[in-house]
Amino acid sequence: MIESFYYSSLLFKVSALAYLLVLMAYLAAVFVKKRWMGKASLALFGAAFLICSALIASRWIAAGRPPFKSLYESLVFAVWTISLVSLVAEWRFRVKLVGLLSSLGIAGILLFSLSKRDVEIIALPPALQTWMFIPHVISYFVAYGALFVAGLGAVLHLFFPGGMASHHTLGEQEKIDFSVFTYQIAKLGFLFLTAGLLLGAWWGQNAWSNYWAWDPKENWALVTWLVFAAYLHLRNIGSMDGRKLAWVVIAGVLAVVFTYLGMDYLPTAGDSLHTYSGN
Amino acid sequence: MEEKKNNASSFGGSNHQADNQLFRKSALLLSLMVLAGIISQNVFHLVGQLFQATGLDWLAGLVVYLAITALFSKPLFKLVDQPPFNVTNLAAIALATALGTFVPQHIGLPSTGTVGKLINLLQLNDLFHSWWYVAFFVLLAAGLVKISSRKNWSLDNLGFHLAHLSPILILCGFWVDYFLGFRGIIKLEEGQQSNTVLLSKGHSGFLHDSTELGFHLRLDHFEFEKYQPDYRIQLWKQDTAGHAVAVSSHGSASKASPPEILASFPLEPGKIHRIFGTQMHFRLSKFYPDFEFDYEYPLRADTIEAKDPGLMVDLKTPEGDAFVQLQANKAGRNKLGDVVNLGAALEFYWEMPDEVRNTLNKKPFGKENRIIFEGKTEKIHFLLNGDLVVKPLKTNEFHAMSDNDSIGFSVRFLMPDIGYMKAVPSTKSEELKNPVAKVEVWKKGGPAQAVYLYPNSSGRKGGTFMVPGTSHFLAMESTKDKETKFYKSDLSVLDENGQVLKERSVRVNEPMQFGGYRFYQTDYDSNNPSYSGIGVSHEPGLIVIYLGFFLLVAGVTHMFYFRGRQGL
Repeated sequence: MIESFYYSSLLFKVSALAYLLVLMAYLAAVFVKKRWMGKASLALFGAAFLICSALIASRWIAAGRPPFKSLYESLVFAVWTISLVSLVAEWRFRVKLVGLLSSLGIAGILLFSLSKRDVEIIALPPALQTWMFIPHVISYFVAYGALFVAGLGAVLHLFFPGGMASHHTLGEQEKIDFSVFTYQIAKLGFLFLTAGLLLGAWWGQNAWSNYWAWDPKENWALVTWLVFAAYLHLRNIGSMDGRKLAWVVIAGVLAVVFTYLGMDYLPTAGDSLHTYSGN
Repeated sequence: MEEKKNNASSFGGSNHQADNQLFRKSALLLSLMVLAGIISQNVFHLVGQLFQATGLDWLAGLVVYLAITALFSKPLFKLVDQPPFNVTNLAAIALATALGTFVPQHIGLPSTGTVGKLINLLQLNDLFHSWWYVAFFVLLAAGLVKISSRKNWSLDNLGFHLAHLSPILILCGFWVDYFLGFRGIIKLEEGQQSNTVLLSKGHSGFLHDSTELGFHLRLDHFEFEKYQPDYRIQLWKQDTAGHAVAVSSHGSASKASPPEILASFPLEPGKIHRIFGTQMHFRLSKFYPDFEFDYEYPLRADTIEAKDPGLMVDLKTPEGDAFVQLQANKAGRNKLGDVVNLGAALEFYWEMPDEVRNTLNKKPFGKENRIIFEGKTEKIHFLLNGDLVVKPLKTNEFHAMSDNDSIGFSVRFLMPDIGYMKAVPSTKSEELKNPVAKVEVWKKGGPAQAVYLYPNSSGRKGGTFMVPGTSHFLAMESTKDKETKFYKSDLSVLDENGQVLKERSVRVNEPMQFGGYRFYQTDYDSNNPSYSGIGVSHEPGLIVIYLGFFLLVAGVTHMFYFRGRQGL
C-alpha cells in the first residue's frame, strides 16, 4: 500500500493528505465544540475538494479523455462526487457530523483505490468514444455520491433517532432531523440515478443496438433504482417508522456498492459489457 | 426542513397497522401469482405442443394463465392501486432481478440433474422472460394507471402523473419491440452484399433464425485501426520469496507468482526515479525510435597493427539492405556463402594464403563465383563467371553485381584490428520501428550502469533489466496500442436492381437508419481484415421508449423540486 502510494501521482498524494487533514479536523470538531472549528473543517473540506478537482482535471488532460475508464479513476471520481454532495449537504443542513462520516468514507475509498491504482493510462475502446459517456457517468456518480451521503444520514438517524443537538451543528437551529436529511439527499440521488439509468439505456442502443440487454450491471442498476423508489414511496405513505426506513436506505446503499464493485463475483459476470479496466 | 417525518401519504392517509396488513396480503398475492406463472408456463410447454401445428400454442398457455389469474382477480382488483401492494411489487421485481444475476441466463439450457430440472421448472434460466417475472411488470403498469387516475389532473400534479405514467410508456415500447421487433446481424466481407439477417434471441445473442430485408446491404470498405504505441519505462516487481517457500515446503516447484507492475514513467530523458525501499535509482538516458548501431573506426587505420583484421561490407541484395562483418583470423567468420543472393560468395584475408593465390594464378578458374578481399594490399579479386578482375579496395565505393545497380556491395571499413571499432547506438529515423531505451541504473553514490530496454514484439522477447539487489526489473512497453481505436464500415443500401439508395459510414455509436431499420457496427475479426459484422435492429417501440425516458426524468424533477408538496 505504501509502495503504491509512493508511485502515485503528486496530486493524488496531496489529495489524500488533504482528506486525511479533513478527517482529523472533523474529529477534532466533535470534541472542540466551537462553531469556528466546524467552519474550519468545512473550509478544509472545500480545499480538499478543489485539490481532488485538480487531480481529476490533470488526469483528464494526461489521458486525453474523461478519466472514468478504470476502476481507479472511477474511485477518485466517487471521492469527488461524495465531497461535492457532502459540502452541499453540510452547507444546506448546517450539520458537521456528515462531513466527519463522509471524510471517513473518502479516506477508505482512497485507501482502496491505492490497491486498484492503474499504472498505465488505458485508451478508450470505440464504444466509449462518445459524448454520452460523460453525462452517463457523471449522473451515476453524482447519484452514488448522494446516496452514499443519504446512507450516512440513515446511519446517523439510527444513532440519533430524536435528532441532534445544536452543538453538533454549524447553524443556529435547535435540532436536525436525520430522517429529513436522508430523504432530501436520497431524492437528489434518485433523480440522478434515474437520469443515469436512462442515459445508459439510450447510449446502449446507439453503441450495441440494445437499450436493455439484461446485463448483470444493468440489472443491478435497476435493483438499486427499485430499492430507492420503494424507499421514497414507503416514506411518503408513512407506513414504516424512521428506523426501518433508515435500514431500507442502508440496504439501498449496499445495493449501490454491489452494483459498483460486485459484478465480478456474479456467475453471470462473463455476460457483462460493463466491466472496469484494472478491476 | 419543516417537513414532518412520516408525513401523510400523497396517495391518501393510512395507518401502520392497516398498511402492515396490506403489505402481508400483497406479498401473499404476489407469491401466488408467481406460482400461477410457473404452473401455467409449464402447462404451456406441455399442452402447447399439441397446438403447435395450429400456431395457437401461445394461446393455450395464455388461457391457462388467465384462468389461474381469474382465481385471484377479486383481491387483485382491490389491491392493485394500493401503495403497499405496489411497493411490495417493486421489492418483488428487485428481488427477482437480483436473483436473475445469480443464475446464468441461457435460452434452451438442457435440464441436467435435480438442480437443473428445478431451475428449468421455475424458469430461472430464462428468468427475465418468464411469465411470472413479466406478470410483475403487468401488475406494476396496472397499478400505475390506477394510482395516476385517482390523482387530480392539475399543474401541481403534472410531475406526479408524468413520473407514474412514463414507466408505462417504457414498458409498452419494450413489449412492442419484443413482439414486433427483432435484432440480428448481417455478416459481410468487403464487396459482398446481402439481405439476410441472422436473428439473435434474448440477451445471450443466440442466433436461431434468419429473415430477409426488402433491400440489400453492401460492404464497400472496412477499416480497422489500433491506437498508436505509447512507449513508457515500466518498473515491475517479481517477488520470488513466495515461490521459494512453496518449493521448500512441498518439495516440488510451483508456478511463480506473476510479475506485478508498480509504476510506469513517460520517456523523459534525465528525470531520476528511485526504486521504493532501495538505494537504487534509474533514469532514461536516450530513446531511439528506430534503433541501429552506428559503427566508427579511426581514420588513420594504416597506423594500426594488424592483430585481428576485419571488414565491414554493406550489401544491396534482392532480400533488402544488410551488412556483414568478416574477420580474417577467425575460421568460419572469414567467409560468407551466397546466402543473400548477391551472386557470389565473400572471402576476406589480410594476407592471401598460398592456396588461394595459386587458384587465382591458374586458369581456368572454375565455375564458382567468389569475391576475395585482400586487406594488406587493399585489393578486391572478382572471380565471376570464369573471369578474374582485380580492383583496388576503397571504402564506400559501390560495386554493382547486376546491370541496374540493384544488387551490389560497398566496403564500409577495412580494419587492421577490429578491436578499435566502436559501435555507437543511433536511430535510423524518427519512426517507431525499432524502439530502444538506453537507461542508466545506479546505487546511491555508486557508478552508473547503462542498459538497453526494448519491447516484446512478434517473435522477439523484450529486453528487460533486473535491478541488482532488488526483486524489481525494468522494461519498456506500450499498452495503448493493444486497444482498438476504431472500426468502421462504408455501407451502401441497394434496391432489387442494384441501384444505390443510400451510402453511409457506420461506426460504433454512429448507426445508420434506413427503412425502419438501424444498422450498427457490431463485429470485426482481427484475423480477417475484410470482414465486418453489421448489427441490424427493427424496434418500432423505440420512439415510445425514448419519450418515456424523457418524461420520467422530467416528471421526477417536477415532482421533487417544482411543486409545493414534497410527496410522491
